[in-house]
Amino acid sequence: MTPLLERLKKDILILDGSMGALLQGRGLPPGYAPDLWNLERPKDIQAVHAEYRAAGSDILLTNTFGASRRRLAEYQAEGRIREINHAGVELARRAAAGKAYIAGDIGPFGSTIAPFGDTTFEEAVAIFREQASILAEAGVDLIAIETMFDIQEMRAALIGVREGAPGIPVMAFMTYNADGITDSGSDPETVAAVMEGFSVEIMGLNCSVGPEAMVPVLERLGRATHTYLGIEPNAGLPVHRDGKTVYPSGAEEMAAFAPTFVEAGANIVGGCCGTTPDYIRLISKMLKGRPPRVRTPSPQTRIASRTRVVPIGAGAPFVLIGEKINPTGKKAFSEAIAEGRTDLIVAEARKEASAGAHALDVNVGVPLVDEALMMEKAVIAIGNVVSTPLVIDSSFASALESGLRIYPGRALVNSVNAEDERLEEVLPLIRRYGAAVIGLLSGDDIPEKAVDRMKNAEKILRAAERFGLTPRDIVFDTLALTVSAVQEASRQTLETIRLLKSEWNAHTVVGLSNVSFGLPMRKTVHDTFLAMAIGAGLDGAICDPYDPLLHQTVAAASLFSGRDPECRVFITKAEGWTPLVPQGDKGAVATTATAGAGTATPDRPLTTREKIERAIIEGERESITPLVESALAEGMAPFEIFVEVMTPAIRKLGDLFGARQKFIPHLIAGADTMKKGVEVLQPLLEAKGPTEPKGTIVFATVKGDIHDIGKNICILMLRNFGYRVVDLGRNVPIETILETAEREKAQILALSALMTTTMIQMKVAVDAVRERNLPYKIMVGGAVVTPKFSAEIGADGYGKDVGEVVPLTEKILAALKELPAS
Amino acid sequence: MPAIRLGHPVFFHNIPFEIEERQILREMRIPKKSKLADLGEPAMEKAIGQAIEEGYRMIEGQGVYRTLTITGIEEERVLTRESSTLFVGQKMVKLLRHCDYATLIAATIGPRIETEVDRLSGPEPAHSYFLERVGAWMADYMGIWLDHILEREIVRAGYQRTFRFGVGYGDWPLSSQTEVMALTEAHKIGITLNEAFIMIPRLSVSAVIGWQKPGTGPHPTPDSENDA
Repeated sequence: MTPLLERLKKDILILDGSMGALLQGRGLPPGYAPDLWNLERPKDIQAVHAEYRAAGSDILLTNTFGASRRRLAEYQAEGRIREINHAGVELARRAAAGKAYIAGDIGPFGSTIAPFGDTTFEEAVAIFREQASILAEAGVDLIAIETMFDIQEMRAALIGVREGAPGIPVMAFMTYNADGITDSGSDPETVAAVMEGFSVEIMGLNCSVGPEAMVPVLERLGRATHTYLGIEPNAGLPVHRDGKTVYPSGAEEMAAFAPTFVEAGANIVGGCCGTTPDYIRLISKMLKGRPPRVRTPSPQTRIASRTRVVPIGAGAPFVLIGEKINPTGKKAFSEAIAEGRTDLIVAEARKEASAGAHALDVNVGVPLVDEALMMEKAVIAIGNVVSTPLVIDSSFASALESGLRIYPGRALVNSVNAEDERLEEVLPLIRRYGAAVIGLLSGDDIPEKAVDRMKNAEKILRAAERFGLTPRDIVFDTLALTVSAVQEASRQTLETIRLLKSEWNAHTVVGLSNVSFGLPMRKTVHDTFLAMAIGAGLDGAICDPYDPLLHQTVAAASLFSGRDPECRVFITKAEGWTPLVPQGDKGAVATTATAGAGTATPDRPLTTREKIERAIIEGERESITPLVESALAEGMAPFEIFVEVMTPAIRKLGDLFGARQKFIPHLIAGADTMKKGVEVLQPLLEAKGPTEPKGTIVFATVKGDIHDIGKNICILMLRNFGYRVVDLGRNVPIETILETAEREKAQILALSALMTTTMIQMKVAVDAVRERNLPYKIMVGGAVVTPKFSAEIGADGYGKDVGEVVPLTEKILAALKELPAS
Repeated sequence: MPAIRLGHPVFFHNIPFEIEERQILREMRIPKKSKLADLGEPAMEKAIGQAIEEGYRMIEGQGVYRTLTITGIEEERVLTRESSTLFVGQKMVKLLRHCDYATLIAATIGPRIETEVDRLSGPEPAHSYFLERVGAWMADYMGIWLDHILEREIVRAGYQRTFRFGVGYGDWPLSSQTEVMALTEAHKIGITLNEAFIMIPRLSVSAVIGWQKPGTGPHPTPDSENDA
């Protein structure tokens, strides 16, 4: 037979359809492993293959979808993995009779993979490697990886297959949902970028949804890659009829989509769940003799996170690679890494992504730190909170590998240079993990002249090709040197960019920050250099994404370098910018007054008293302490500040809450602000002698319950209003509450509960107080507590939320005063 | 058809997340605002924004689900192959009566926010509150994330999902948590129970979702809770 990849250049090939549906028709019990029938019912398996062959299938998928060690273990058949897979290949081959290609079928291994799941990446690779190796040994023409929901599992499968079945073409299909993304959130463009990193021969999609919903995904794949494409739709989404699972799309309905698939770029068309030889016969009839659509390869390098792809190269937006995740010269950052903490890394990643970085360089190199372990932690932590693709940066191959292994996307590696040793240790990693790499144009030294840097570029490229990489897998760093030290070298950097672009159409980046070292107005220097480099053809820079001038420079330079058609990006971005250089009246972008939104200019300055009031109402916690100190300095008495300024302010805030002009967070922030202010006054008030509290409340979350955020806020409010509150905390037994109330001479017991199972403890408390004829009033509250429940258990008061705690307390205490003393 | 993952818990670690300002404002019961900037209150915006940023540094989203095979429906009990005592109560019967499978879900954001909330509750009560609200929403978020993953599995198998029903709601006793935790092996993602069956960390969620045959019961929108 003509080799498969040769056939695909000129023919549309037809895959087979569902194996499961036909086996069930032959008596396969629900829940039983179809793969076991390779040994138990081989004639049935061969017969199904033969039916598909007769229907026109050019490729037969072996009945080995679930024949990995992990899946077979569910049926205690892992020890028979070799014979099951061998038999699967042999049965397909007999049915093919030399007229169809045999695709060794591999499905998901049935669990989740790190960093999401429990199975480590290498365990998963080993599972796939073992099955691929057996299928290759049995003589398949290609390996088919199907029905993958998670791009990370696909990565493991691709590595396993490449290692287990070297030299055999791979057809890799993901499963997309109706919204066009996979379960793990990857869109077709991202999947294409990741799979291209592994030089997959055929990529595509199968299962899950029907043909109609698959068309847009296939079209997106067709635009994103020039790799051969395949598609196997279900016969619609399954439904249950008369106790059976059935697929609603008929053969004619499904076959009608076949020409559309080819238009979208499909080179291979088949069927998945619910399809039968009838479907394949019709599809084959429609497509036989039809030529495939030719798609043009994109020259750009693509890197990707799990959910976002970033192209690098001519015509693509200029790429800003954030340089801030790097401990060099940062003490706190270094200490955090040394302690194994990722919190500062995560914070920096968030900040860089918010600032507009398109990719993030991750360097965790701190002396004496296990950099490989730390890189893995950093890559996972960053991936949890930002979708920006990563550039994995280390001088240690072990750290590069641990980052690449766990990264569920296509990373860029920083970097390899022209030194033999470095090439030998880094390039195999790039190949294995499907990454891209920055090729630094240094060797044993840094060549001064562009022509010598080009020699290093050539050396890197040739070495990369030896390891199976292509020019699209490399982005060259042309070495931006410090201009104040070596002026000619900087000119040569620009020249190298020009040469790489004009002679090879290669992609380039530079590390920007060093160029201005030692000079005044560094930002002006390196941003000017950047504009010149973009003019020379530069595609990206490792830089400080917090520099607003840099963003403006890149946007402006993109206007002149074919990266911003119709100036749309620049105009849109300019609307949000503050000009950093004078623009004149016409060029100025309208800006708001510096006073900030919502801040009116008063006719007169606020008095300190008014400022304190505003601070409490607006929750300006940081301003209250100096304001209270100012009031004291102006001669106000502490008691006057508390009673005449702060207390009315917090009452006013309460009124605004009641009017739904302010909300619970405002109440809390206001109360917290007042607390800060009272902390200034407290020593002065106490110096005047003891003050009589307005009342004493023992506050507790009831036994069994460990929620206390609402209780704590209520206590804060009460204390601000001058009540003495004894906080017993959470999970407090009734006896402790009563003992404390007696000791502290409390008037009120305040009980909080969040759970239906624990609020019953409130009744226990009420009953105990009543039975013992104790003098305490009981108020209750918490998320699950209702006025009805409060009344049923005989509580004296119920507070819906923190806004009600002070009025309720006042009401209860006022009622107490009206009672005759017992 | 992809196999239903039966017979063992399926764990998820490092769940990716985004803390949406809109959701946090909703969690704080501030109506009609979708961004912090909409508040027009710089102090409040800064304080809540700080809590959100801390959330990004402290949250470690993990989850687990386990799908059980339903074997029978009684008047006040739903039987599964794995347990005859877990699904009790009329609400549970109503929820699962047309289902072939039921999936237990447990998810958490880990203990760090909670520890910080407790630490701050005295000296920084407002900050503590804001952080707690961030944590409360994000615990729900992790449950919803699992819900979405599961829903796709349910649809692929030709079923519809039911509402998500939280343990302890309606007449499903909170004491059922013990079995839920055991069947999902939730201790492996750090969730345990106290004597009142409350999950520790508190910022955790647990629930059940049924796999109902299409057209046999209400078809809820994603994320619908406790409306059985």
